[in-house]
Amino acid sequence: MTPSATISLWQDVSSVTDHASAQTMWHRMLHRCGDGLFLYARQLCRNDADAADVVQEAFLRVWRKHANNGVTEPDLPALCYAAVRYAVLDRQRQAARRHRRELSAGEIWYAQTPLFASPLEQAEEHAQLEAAIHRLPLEQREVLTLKIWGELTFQQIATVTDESPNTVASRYRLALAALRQQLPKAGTHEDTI
Amino acid sequence: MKTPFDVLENQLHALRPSPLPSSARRRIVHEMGQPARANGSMLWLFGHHAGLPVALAAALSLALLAGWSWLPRPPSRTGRTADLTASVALLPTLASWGTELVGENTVAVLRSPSMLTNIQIRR
Repeated sequence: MTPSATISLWQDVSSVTDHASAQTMWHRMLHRCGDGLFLYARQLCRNDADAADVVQEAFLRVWRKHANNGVTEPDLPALCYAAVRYAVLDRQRQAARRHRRELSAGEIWYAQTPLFASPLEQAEEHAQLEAAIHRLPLEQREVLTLKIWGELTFQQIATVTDESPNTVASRYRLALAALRQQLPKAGTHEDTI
Repeated sequence: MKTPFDVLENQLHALRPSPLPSSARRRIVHEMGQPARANGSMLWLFGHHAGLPVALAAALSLALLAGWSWLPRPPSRTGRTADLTASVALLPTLASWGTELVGENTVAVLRSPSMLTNIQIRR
């Protein structure tokens, strides 16, 4: 085998390996953040079917844009959550023009579908928490979702929501305070020091 | 020191979001399994907003080159080499065509408003 052929073969193998590792990174990302993205989309979409479509559209949009530009894994969650937000906003603009009635019907149905998967023994407590989360203003719920289940930093949340980090942190504190107020038992299961 | 908020945060962390429907997950994995769309294939080039004008410009240039060789010629043809030379020579001519249309005075006026005044004074 000539040296040039060896180099060519090595390049082929390395490109295949790079491609495979990149694919693995995206699959890992989907496995890790898929549920969180779906939860976030449901918070904004108010319709499960639309939320699933939004997650698919947003994830693939990020993948197509960044699959070959060397994006690192820690940056991916924020990119995906931002893409979900933009996709929802796009859809809402279209939906507002076309069928307002369908949206309101979806909202009623959405309210009956649990956001979280709970084991039976904690079902009551989780239902109370979920109901309290539902009563939060949308801005606070959005920040809470991105922080707790999206595991984003305040800086990343600020980028996703086009707000300042201080505003985001303030909304998060307000959300926690409101939850504590609504759930007198919340925060008392463990001993505070 | 553990605050009541920390405890509340732990309780919230214990809530696991309902899973993304498997159909959506399968569709995403299926799309990602088709590497052509992520690797800059022609299909993706045309779908991309910046790729479309480039492709159109290339197609137009080719059409111009091809069309030039089909134009009727005078009887004294000197062969295909001359045709090719003429086609290639056409490109810079086409490029400068727009500039020539504008005219020297107009270009000068566009570049400097004070030039307009001088020209008008001379007239």
